[in-house]
Amino acid sequence: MFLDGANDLITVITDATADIECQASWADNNAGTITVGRTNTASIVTATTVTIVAAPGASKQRSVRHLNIRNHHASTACTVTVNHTDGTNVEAVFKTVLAAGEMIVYGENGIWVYYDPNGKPYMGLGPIATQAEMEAGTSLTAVVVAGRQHFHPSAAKWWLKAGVTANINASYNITSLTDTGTGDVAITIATDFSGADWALVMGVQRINSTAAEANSRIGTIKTASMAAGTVSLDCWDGTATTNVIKDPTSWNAAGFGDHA
Amino acid sequence: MKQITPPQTKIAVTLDNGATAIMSFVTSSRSPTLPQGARWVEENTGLWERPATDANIFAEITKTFRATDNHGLPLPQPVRYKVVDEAEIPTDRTYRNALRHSETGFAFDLDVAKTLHVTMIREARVDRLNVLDKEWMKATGQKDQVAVDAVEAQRQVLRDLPTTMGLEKATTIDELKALWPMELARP
Repeated sequence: MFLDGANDLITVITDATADIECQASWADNNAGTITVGRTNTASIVTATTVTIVAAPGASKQRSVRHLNIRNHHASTACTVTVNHTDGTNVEAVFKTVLAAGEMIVYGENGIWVYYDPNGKPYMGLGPIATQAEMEAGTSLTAVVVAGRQHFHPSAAKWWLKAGVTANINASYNITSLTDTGTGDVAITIATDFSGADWALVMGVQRINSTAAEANSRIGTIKTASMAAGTVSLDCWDGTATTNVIKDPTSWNAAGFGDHA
Repeated sequence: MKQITPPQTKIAVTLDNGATAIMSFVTSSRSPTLPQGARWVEENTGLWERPATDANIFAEITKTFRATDNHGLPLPQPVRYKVVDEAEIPTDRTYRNALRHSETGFAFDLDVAKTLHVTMIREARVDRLNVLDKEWMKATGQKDQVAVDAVEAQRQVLRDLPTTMGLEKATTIDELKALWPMELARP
């Protein structure tokens, strides 16, 4: 903020018997000579109006680089209004209710930051993205929250790792896995897709490291098995002429698409 | 939050084609919404739990075993289920598709197992036959009739294998498993 001449100044108005502490740092220009200074205002403990940065004086300019206004009271909240005046027009440049321990800081970048009693800044958040906004995936202003991030098209809707007997080692959004035979499992999803058209990515672990066709494993989606809430997988070896259905060492899969 | 293995209850499901499926029924996990019969364990953790009650199991089985596939073709349907101890489930999967479950527990259908055994022999002899085919071609090209006859004799032994193994004599799964031709590597 900028003060010019003998009439510009910055005041603080308080509305409660709290304990508001103000500190200002500034730089003055006097016809090319620049000096820095600061103003530590005595604690404001009543509802009143106090000048926290005085006018620089005739033919001088003052650049306010930093303002720090904290409610030091243990329990009482206080509405704080920061005014800039040129002697005629009074402009409220910031106003808020400071709870006990809270603080506002004006920096040389011209930005006010609001701090909690532990000195952590309150984060300014935009509106929470709706399911439709998450599914559209285009908003640059709506905020993603943990409970809706799974609606984004790029998010895995389910995943699992399981052993050969359909024993689930780790999973998300899965209610059961069924061993329906050699090299054959059925997956049941907790929260379904909106339809049968979704994408599945999978990998199966081969049974050992020896490079032989019979030891390789190829996982596939069982024909015509994809539904909104279920899918079946099978696994084959690499035998050229027969492609025998075989157990893998582990099943690994994930699904992407649109939630119901 | 550390990823943990979800607790699971094993359920043996008998299908109308005679096969037995083993379902791992998840009793606690995470998902965006609650599955049938579940409740949130704690707010904001996304962790739910549900008991393996008949109602919950039935709902899960009904969802898992669809009546038809996406082409409208009928799929095997469940006719019976039973909660089983994981320790009861045979760990040897050699004849997994012959596994059956009844009121008395798990057992292998020996006739189905013999069919699977024959299939395994046929699969195992493919590589050996390919080698012999190359030897036969070479001997034929070299007009070495003695070698041709010797290779052909070996090929015929392999062709006859399923019927010459005496699989019909096996009365137990262990006896069946022991009947494996010396010429072939076990799968």
